[in-house]
Amino acid sequence: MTPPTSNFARFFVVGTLAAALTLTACGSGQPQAGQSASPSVSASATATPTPTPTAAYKPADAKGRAENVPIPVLPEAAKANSKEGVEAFARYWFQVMSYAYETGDMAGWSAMTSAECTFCNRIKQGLESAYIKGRWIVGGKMTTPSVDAIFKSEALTQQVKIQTIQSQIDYYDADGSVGQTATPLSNSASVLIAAFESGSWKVKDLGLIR
Amino acid sequence: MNSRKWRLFAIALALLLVVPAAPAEAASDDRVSSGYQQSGIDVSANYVRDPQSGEFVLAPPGHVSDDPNQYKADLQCQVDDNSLAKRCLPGQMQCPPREAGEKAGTPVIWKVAPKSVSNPVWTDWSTSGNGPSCLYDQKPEDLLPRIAARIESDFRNLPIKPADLTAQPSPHTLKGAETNIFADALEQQFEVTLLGQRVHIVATPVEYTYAYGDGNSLGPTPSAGGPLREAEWGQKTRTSHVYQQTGDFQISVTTTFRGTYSVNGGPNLPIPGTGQFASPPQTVSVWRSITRNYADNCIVNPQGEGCPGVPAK
Repeated sequence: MTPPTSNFARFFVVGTLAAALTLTACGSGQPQAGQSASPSVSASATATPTPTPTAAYKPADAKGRAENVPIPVLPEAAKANSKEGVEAFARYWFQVMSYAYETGDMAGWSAMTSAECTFCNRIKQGLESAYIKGRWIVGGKMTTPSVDAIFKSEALTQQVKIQTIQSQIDYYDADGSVGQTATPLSNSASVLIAAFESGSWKVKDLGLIR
Repeated sequence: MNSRKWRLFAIALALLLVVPAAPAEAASDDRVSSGYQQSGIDVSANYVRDPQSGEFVLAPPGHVSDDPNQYKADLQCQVDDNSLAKRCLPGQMQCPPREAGEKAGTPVIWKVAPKSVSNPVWTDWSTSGNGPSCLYDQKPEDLLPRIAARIESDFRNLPIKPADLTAQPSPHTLKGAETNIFADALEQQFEVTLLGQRVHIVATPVEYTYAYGDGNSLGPTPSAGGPLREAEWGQKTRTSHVYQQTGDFQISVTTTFRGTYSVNGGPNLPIPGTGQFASPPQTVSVWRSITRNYADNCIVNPQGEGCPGVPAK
């Protein structure tokens, strides 16, 4: 008798492998110029082995919002109160932020985020302004190529140093016109302050390292 | 009485009904940048690394950071350290010789990454209108360190105009009173040629050191001070000084400039160190004032002190 988690894990591994194979298959045809590898979120999420055909993911473009955006799944590793745990959580938190940038849906992200985090509140305000009245954005994808926690087991909060890259953001109004000047790509170092509370990580504060 | 209250209530209600429509309309102009980094900058969510503990702490209010980024120039068609993308080569930027007999330049792409991340992912540095730029040297990869090695001494030797120095009141002031002394320095820009490259330098005044000429000094301080209206002369300011002796004093100010430099239109790189530039000294004469009270005027007592024709004591 195997516990249900191991089944899930096997599925997950198979799915990821399949996705990896597909990716290599696509990639081998054309020598790609220095583009960053596509993040694991979309890969694992599209590869969920569901028998029912799911509606196809369509990224946002100048004609409309993104459709059927896969929701990032909290990895098992991110549930541990450890250095690896908080690092996995930090990656996941930025994936969910990226999802919010793509969809305007901030519910999942807000649930993991303290209301006292000023930077986070400003991000929320920016996203609200980008998605009210039928507006939408293209781009704004967050990637975190480097994630490194200073883990102190006795401390109440943990600090994670993260390289945060966000792709260019283009703004569109409901009628399809350009809403405001595009925000260029940004490449910054951030610190995330997280606390492990009743079995899960929560973001207490966020800052840019200056 | 009662009906008037009702009328007021009705007006208030009408206002309430009308007003809410307005903010919804106004919100259409209420666009903000949604960018991640810009959001953090907007709310000054700045952390700095505490060198003692190695942890990150909230930057103090008003914290002015150096540029948090590092830069490098990659050959335009470089894919990694050793290889060039052949397909890219025909389409790359042309860097023809700028003068007859000179060699052609090398197209480069400036890259940026945060300083505090080791082995970071680099992204293209660009502001509007900046694509690849040209470097003119046989070994462009060695060029930037060589410029960096020279820029500090070159910066110190630039003809930077020092601050203008003003004292209020001047040239005469009073012993025991606040004399307002202030500096006025401007950001200055220079175009120089260094190792065959066009280098744009921006010098910004950051600190001032005042010497009051009586052995007292102030600074270095970020405060340049500023002028007072004549009615305010004698008030204490952040840079004012009280002379305890009469006499002529040479006041002077030395302004510390910090600089950035940009090579052929690349990003602004910080110049290490600072340059000190002294302003020509100025003389203030400190006088004493004596107050005497008199019971009579000169009509009642024409021989009184200070009356016309009476010799001074």
